[in-house]
Amino acid sequence: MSRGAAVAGTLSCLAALLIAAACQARRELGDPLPGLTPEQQERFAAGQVEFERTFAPETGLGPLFNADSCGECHEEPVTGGPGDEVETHVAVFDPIRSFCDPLADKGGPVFQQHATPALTAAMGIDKEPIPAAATVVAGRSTPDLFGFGLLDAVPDAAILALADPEDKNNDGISGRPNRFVDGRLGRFGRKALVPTLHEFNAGAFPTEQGVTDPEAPAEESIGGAPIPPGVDPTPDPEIAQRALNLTDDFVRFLAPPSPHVLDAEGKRGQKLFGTLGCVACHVPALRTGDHAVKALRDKKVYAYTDLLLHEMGPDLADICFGLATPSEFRTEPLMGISASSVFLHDGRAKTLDEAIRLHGGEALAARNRFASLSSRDREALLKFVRSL
Amino acid sequence: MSHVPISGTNRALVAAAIVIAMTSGIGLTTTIGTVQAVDPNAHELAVVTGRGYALRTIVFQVEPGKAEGPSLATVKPGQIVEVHHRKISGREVALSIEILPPEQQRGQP
Repeated sequence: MSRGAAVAGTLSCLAALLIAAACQARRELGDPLPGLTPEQQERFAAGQVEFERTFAPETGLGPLFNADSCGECHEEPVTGGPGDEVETHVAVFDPIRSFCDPLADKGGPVFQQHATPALTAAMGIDKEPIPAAATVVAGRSTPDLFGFGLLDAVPDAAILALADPEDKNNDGISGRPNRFVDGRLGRFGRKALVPTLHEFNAGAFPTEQGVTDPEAPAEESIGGAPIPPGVDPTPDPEIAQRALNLTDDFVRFLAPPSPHVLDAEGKRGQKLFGTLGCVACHVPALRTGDHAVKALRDKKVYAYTDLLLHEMGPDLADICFGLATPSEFRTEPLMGISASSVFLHDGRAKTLDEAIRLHGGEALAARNRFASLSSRDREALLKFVRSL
Repeated sequence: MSHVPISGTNRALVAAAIVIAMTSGIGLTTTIGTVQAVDPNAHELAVVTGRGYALRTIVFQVEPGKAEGPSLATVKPGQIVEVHHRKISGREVALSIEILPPEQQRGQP
């Protein structure tokens, strides 16, 4: 064999190895994070079973609920993805005192859309009644959960470093942190209220399924009233700590989508996304900090969010939540948006183009720049966003 | 009824016993949350707490002069407070109230 043939053979082998490695690295939606230990992969798999576990009244469902499993809502195109359910959140905002009342004493902020047969028989209701005090009722669509473990691992300091509540740099973009009811920095939820992924998951069992867990052991009230005797006989907590922890592991270890390979048009769209100013809020990448799980430690996460609140204008305004005023929303992570079929916090936008055009407030200038693009450039930008 | 004088040492021991009773771990709970409502006339303080979106309102009984910290008249809805409390006769009775620092109240970095 000639020397040239040997070199060519070596190069082709090398190319084959690189292609194989690339194929191996490419993740499918719903896959676990790369780099998990075998034990963590087992917890991810067991957690998916818990996430998809369907509850019935005999096993803890209700008496009020939005869904009978986590996977009923987070389902498209795979478990952990977005869903088509839109639930109901309510709060009362006092603009004079700038005070938000989540109506926790009246069943808020989440008002469940379904009731068990026993509750319907006892109270004649098929969902939780909205209290008369409520001034605004908000719809909340189901987001995907891809990469949420990485968002959880971003240090508070990294988020706070992006905040500019007084807009001191005069770029028209502020960004301020929300805080949970106990004052800790929030990051999860459309209003960035909840500080940690674990709390978000622990709180979801009682609020979404009416299933109590050891960390949220009290059953939801019926519009603030106690549950009638005999309606919910399952002893609290209705799931064990292990089931909660496994569910949490599944969500925490759910990988973000592998970014699509961009062609020339997509790359042009990515550049436009920057020059139009979208990146002022949809910050392309955050970095995780130190973490007990190696797969979550010191990782760059292309989430396209700053996890901060921004003024989005009166047309999108609905409820307040924590420090978030009715028109303030957390920058929605675009990571995983390729899996969504409806957009914005309440799913009102049926296309990405419509969602961008509905941006107001601090995003108005970027929105207008998008609207003034040629149709060719707009399509390039949309192609880029659809790749995330 | 005759009055029995308490020596300085005994007075100190009684005071210490009260402090131990008030601050012992038995039944003592700490709650940090946002003030939802204040009713000075009913001596009640309603605080929102919880886990994730599973929020709850706890109504504390705040007897004048018996709970350490600011008077109810100075506590405002929206403030974040730390309450040490104990369940007595079915009611959550506040033993102390502390208003947390401003940086945790306003969403400042």
